[in-house]
Amino acid sequence: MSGVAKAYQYYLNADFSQYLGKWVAIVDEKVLASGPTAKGAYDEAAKKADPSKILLTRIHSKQMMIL
Amino acid sequence: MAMKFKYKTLKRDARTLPVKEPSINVRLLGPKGPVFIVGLLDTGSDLCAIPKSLAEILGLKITGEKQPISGLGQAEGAESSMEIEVSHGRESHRLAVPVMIIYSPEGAVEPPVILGRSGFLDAFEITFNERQSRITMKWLPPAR
Repeated sequence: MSGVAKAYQYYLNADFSQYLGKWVAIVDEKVLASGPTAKGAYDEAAKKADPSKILLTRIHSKQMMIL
Repeated sequence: MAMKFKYKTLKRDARTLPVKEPSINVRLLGPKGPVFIVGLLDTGSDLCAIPKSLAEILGLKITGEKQPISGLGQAEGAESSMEIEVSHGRESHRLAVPVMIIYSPEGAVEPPVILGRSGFLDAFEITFNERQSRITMKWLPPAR
């Protein structure tokens, strides 16, 4: 996980409230792309950075999640 | 040995309490290569699940027919398989797991990656410490 270690630490500590309900692609300490689909965020970020450094995640939505 | 992860705390708005999410970072592996993701540990999910567009990045082949699935609104799913690698410090485990590929309605936001029981959670003894926002995962060697 060394390639994305910094991105994961950033994910844990940063405020992502502006991305609620969206997929985000993080590289190091920066969100490079966001959107409604995983592939959309990934493809846009891959144009700007080495794909092996991209950490993809979907940020929790505004609503409480009960499955 | 055990692997320890922190919950993600997420602020939503001024009126609601922050959400604490038991998620971990893993590497998903498919025919087209690996993708690093953060997935939600979900003990209520029968198996792992990923959205369709992520399955496309990984190059996963669908092995089952589309079927309705409960718990994710109007979504449908189809079965496939992939590998998941989870690492922490010097400890690392790679697991071949069944996965449900989720087809969301047109225009809907795709759901998060779900790390469910079959093939993944059942390979560990897991402790959720909500008060300390900590997850501890202890590897269970396969039964002989």
